[in-house]
Amino acid sequence: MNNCHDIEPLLTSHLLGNLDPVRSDDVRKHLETCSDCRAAVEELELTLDLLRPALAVESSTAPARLDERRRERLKHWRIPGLLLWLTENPRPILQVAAAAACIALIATLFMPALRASKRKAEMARNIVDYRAIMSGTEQQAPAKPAMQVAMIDTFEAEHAGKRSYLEKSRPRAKAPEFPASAVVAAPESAPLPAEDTYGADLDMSIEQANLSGGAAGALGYAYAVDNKMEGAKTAPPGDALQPVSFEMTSGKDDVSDVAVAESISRAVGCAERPDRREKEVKVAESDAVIAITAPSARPEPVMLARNEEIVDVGAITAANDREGALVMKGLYAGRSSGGRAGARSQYADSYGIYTEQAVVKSLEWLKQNQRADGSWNHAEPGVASLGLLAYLAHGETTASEKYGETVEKALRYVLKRQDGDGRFSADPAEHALATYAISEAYGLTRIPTLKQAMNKGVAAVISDTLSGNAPGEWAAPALRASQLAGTDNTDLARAKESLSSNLRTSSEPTAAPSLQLLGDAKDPATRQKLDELAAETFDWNSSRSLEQWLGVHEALFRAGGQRWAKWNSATIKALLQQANEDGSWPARPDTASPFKGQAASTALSALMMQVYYRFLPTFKPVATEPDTPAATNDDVTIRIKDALASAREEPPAKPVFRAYGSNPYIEVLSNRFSTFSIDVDTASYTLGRKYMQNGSLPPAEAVRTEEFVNFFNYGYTRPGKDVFTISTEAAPSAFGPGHLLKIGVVGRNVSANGRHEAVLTLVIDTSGSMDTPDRLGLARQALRLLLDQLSPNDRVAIVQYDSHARLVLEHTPVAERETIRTALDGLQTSGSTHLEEGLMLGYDVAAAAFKPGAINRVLFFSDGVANLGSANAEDILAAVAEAREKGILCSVFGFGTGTYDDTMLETLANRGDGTYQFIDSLNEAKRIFVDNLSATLDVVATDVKIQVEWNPARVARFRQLGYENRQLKTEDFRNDAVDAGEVGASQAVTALYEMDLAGDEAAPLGTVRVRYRDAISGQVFEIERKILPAGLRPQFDSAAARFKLAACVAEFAEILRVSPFADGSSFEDVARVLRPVALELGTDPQVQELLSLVHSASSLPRANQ
Amino acid sequence: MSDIEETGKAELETIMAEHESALLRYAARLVNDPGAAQDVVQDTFLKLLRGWTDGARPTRSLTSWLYRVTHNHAVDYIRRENRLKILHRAHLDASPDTTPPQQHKELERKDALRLALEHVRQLDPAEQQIVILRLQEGMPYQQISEITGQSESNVGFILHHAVKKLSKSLAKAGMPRRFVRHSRSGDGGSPAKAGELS
Repeated sequence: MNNCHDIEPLLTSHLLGNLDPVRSDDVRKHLETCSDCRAAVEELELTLDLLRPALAVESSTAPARLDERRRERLKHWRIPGLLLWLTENPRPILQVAAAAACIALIATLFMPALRASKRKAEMARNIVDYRAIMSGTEQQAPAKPAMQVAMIDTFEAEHAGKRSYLEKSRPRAKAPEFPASAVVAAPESAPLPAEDTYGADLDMSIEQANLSGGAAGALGYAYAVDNKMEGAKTAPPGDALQPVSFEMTSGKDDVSDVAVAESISRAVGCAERPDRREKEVKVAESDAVIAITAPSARPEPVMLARNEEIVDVGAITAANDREGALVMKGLYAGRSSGGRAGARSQYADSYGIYTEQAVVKSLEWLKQNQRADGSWNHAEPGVASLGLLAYLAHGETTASEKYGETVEKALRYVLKRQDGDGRFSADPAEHALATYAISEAYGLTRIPTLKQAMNKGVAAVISDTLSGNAPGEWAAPALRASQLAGTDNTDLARAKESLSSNLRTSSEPTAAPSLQLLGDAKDPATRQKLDELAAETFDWNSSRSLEQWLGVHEALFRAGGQRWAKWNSATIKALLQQANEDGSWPARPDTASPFKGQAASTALSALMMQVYYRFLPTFKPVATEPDTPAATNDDVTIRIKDALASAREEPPAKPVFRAYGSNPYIEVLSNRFSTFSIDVDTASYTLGRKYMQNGSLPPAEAVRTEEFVNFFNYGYTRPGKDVFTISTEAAPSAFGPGHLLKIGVVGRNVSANGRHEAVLTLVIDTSGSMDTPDRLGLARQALRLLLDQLSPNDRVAIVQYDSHARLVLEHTPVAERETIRTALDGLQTSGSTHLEEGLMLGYDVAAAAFKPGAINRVLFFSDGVANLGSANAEDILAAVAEAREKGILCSVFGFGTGTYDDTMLETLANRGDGTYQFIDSLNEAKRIFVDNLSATLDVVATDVKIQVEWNPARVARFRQLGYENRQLKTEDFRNDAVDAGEVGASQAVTALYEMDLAGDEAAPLGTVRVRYRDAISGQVFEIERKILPAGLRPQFDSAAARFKLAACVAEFAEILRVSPFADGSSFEDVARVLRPVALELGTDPQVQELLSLVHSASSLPRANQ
Repeated sequence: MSDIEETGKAELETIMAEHESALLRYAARLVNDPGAAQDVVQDTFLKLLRGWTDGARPTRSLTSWLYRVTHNHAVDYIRRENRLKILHRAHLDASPDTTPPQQHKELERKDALRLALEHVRQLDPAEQQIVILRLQEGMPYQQISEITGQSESNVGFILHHAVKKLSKSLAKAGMPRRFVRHSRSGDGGSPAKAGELS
């Protein structure tokens, strides 16, 4: 049994919540029986209660920042010696060399690191063993095994029912000790190629090889030293050989690593010393394979496990290596998830968020619609090749988890079509296309079967080219891709030359992309053709084939500049508008193209949107997304380890928003239902307003059209007895062709007896980041307003959280206002943000005070930044969803911009059956807590869903504005298990649709249904209302002022979120329509404010993220 | 300026932006002098810079390393300046011999807090460190353990004894016992009624 002697020393920890549950329990039990200890606890509590505020008082002696003098001193503190020289040397390649020299000095001091290479040798042996097993022989490992190992016939292996070589090597590759650092002799690197400013030449593998020279040599030398190879030992790093120490990181994706491995071997092959070259080549190959294998086996921790060995190397270079200084882009590096995101953000303009979504949908569609034999259209290797290219462009190979099977089937199909002469098709153009796809597949996967097929295929393309047998626009890509993939055809150069001279003299401007690929980007003929292409406008219905358009698109992308920016936005807009809802593109009208049908259109459209990362312009390294760690990116990073990265605990705070894309147009004949969950949030508008008032447009992803629309009051008539009323109004759109339909749904007011009793738990973020007047300061003011509105028998508890959470005030009747106010005023900010603990404690407290029939609600006040606990949401969200089941609702109130996590807060409110509002000013707080308090607290219905059934006789197609992340499946409307939004007392929700009308003018447009669960009885009801033709105004001008207001708000939001459907509209257009409306609604201050926001918007820059 | 140098500078800027105000707050609490706190924190960052080139680097957690170095510099400073003597005088000023307990009962809340702080400064450096890290900086035991080199359970013991010591010395100084009852810790004990001032 526990006695006081054991328990007493634990009491402070117990009070502070620092004991594990078992001991905490012991203490609690002991306290029940021991009055001495209870007294001691009382005493300690008193002291702690005094100490905490005492220590929290920011003594006037603590400055927030170092003063300028000291700051300057730190800034001008120079890194002495070698690093100093290094930092002052301007040429990048010399920096690399210098870094190398410098590191080597240190590294030699740390021989243990070298010992690690022994394990690497063992690793190589393992792989060799593996190869022996694979080939069914037990022979001794040959001296030059590695690259061959990588080429073990993956196809054969996959017949055995396994996915990839790498996966199979996993058990063996367990040994994580692949070497972190090594001292090495590297061949002198070739000078970096100058950047091509006009049309980029795409020969990246060569540049990569040059860049990687030092690294490759590093591997080679380390291996050589360890294995006592001749030459290495006797030839210490000389003048022409720069020693280098480095670390190689790589992502999960095997593919580009192989490409890089090859570049490395090639680079070493370029070494100046013939006597050493051969060995180094071999060695580099071995190591390269290890580099591929080890990280794949243990995707994340490999690097960390090895950090210790290079601590000092890392420390020395930490200063010059923040994100991993030398990032060697693999040939296909842009195709990883991080690479894609980076490339999009750099090249895709604001459409990146839409194109990626569309690409993923189209890949999904292609997967669903692939035929059993791997083709899409019967007997057409061409379409299968296009499909293949689309997947490969996305970095999807046979090893891909999601699309591996699709890719493999398509590959098999194309390969099967190859005849004895190596031809995939009798049509030379189609054959060239297939060769292109197979070459790229080989380049990405290194599957030997593909190499043979590629070599045979390219031989036929070459013979077609040399014999003038019109090989079409695919010949140049085929030649180029096979060259990059490493075909050994000796006639390739001749064929390229011949093709190029033919194309240069051709009058057809669409030869430009081919000329670029053939290395003639700067030829005047190419330039002239490019100029002609840039003058064209992409048109889906034009007579140009889609593959020609793809060529034009790629050519202009490579040429870059203003022309590209202009072309890109217009083209992508036009292309996205053609997309079907299911992710496919419709079959094109008859064109010159041999490839017709939906699959061909879809693959080609996807390829057009993938241009940003398919080919990266030469030597413009793409910054990867900061939140994508190197380990998930298949760039091969040669990184001089940033020693501090692992020590840094909190990621840099920045606003987090998530884009949900735009709803597409839907043909009523294909789907006459539109179903969505109700959403009464308004945070997006207030947040956007705050951004604009601070001088910039909000990030596009932060704008949710429905939250903009729902912020405004549309004067709907409140229901009498019913829970909801539905009203509709329609008129021609003011901002485009078609009509706009507005649907209003209003919940009833609270019953005559007034609002229900409220049991509120305030969970307040008091972390350091909240310490500004517009965060905790404003929250405090808002809460005072709330407090004044609550009735005396409502109860309020306060939970505060920063580094840890604590109950500041247990549920206290509002009658004791002063007590609550004092507690609020006593809140102090400090520390980090343990969101999880705060929420958990909040819900615990709320559950303990749960009162059936009352409003049980957790009110959550935060800036959303979480940096302790499982900030990664899922755990928190699960707990929140569980509390919702118990009847505890939540309201989320966001504060502050800058480090604001919009996504986190919105998701939280969704899962917790709550509302989400952003409080940017005292006025907004007043609107929420004074004017709309009952709507904020009291719920009249939950799981409220809306379904519109369109009448095909009257409506041809429709598109919903907003509610992108609230869409429900048609069948879920009547599935009451599916969670949906809640509606507070007298709360109104507005939905807007764009429609194209057709046919019978007397017919109703459709029917609106609302299904909800009554908050009091728990019963589910459904009401409906026909959208009668009477509600359809002949002109926009004859519609009600509030209707026009909604139209303006929605258009404003659509422009702000760069929706492709807001095509051609400007803020000025919105202002023009809004001005008379604002005049008419002169007494509504919110409308006046909107007008001034719209006026100011056109001169504001987009917020940086 | 080369990229590399810029990167290094940016690195330092980032680290400083992240930690300087917390470290200054911590140092100021220890040395009780704004200028000295600035010196202490500047020295900490200098040490970090030097570490980058000497090959020494903070193991495991940069944050813990910064706090530890700041603490060491602060203690050095206190020794150097013979701060303890001054603190001792502060202690004498606050002792019950010079002020009758009855007067203390009427202390403003602000004065009470200040007095409590002075008592904190009389603790041993090791106790002070843990009290400040836990109660001011809100750090978990695990991190305090990293900073101080004490085991986690030791951190708990030291903290407990420090709080007990403070309880006694504050009681002896005639500190009113019923200040600020509404701000209490989360997990343990029974909820208390708020606001009694006597």
